[in-house]
Amino acid sequence: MPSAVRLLLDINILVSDVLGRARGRQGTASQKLVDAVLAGRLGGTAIQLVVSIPMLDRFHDVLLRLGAEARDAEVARLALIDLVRSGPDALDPYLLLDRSDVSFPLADEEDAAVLAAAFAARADLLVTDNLGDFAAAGGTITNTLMARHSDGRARQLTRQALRSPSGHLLTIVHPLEVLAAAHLGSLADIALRQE
Amino acid sequence: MPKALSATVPEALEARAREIARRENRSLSNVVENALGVFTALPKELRDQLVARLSTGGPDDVALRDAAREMMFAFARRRYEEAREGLASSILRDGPEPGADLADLDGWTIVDRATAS
Repeated sequence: MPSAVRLLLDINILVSDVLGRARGRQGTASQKLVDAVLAGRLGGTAIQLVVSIPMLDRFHDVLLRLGAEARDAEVARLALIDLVRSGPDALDPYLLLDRSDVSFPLADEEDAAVLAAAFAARADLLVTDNLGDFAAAGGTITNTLMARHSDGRARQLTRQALRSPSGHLLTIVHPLEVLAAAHLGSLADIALRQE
Repeated sequence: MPKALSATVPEALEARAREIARRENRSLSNVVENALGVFTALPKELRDQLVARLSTGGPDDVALRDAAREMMFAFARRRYEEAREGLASSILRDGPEPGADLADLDGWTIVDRATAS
């Protein structure tokens, strides 16, 4: 039986989920993704959340900057640690600090740390709106979907396949594409599973 | 007023309880109190199933461990959902406007599948 798809969610998705709720929005891409993480399944596929302690600390800090109650921010941070630990692959966020397997030339140190955490956890998907931030990683980039913003702007979404020195494959992908793939039942396809 | 209880248990069970107390820096009495508290809070049907599973598979039974993990996941999910509601209301009440990237993320929808490059 195939194991769960390991999914690293960019912190911005967690924050956008909360912001959407604060503004009374429903059914946003961020909300759908976080709801899937909380259900442990996306489009019928079991998923294992991947998140590192530095990412959770950043999530906590962003929430406080946005005016959140400190207690709620801390409970959310601790609950996410437990969600990772009690997921199907029982990962430990405290152990996702190994950077020895990663040598991608990203300018931003936080992005490099996120990529390192993804590889340390052998994540299948890194889901982020900031695809351009990871473009310098040097993987194979493919144009996938066209997206339009509510203000009229258009945008080409891409998917980047990255292989670590040890051979693990990671796909960096936009939230909308993950949801579209899940809807079509092809999440495992974009995750480039090696089993 | 706390009451004292005495019970006769298998040696292996006593050793496991002592090991938990040592590892978690608690008294044996506190471990037993917690165990009784949790057990008596569960519905009888669940208690019966847990006892039956324990008697056949022991504490390392795969189904028992899977069920424990799923229960932990369910509790973590509930805690996150509750925190998320609190976060949404406190941010709405007190929060400043977020940066452009955060406000922007959920404004996009798919319009077309592009030709792969």
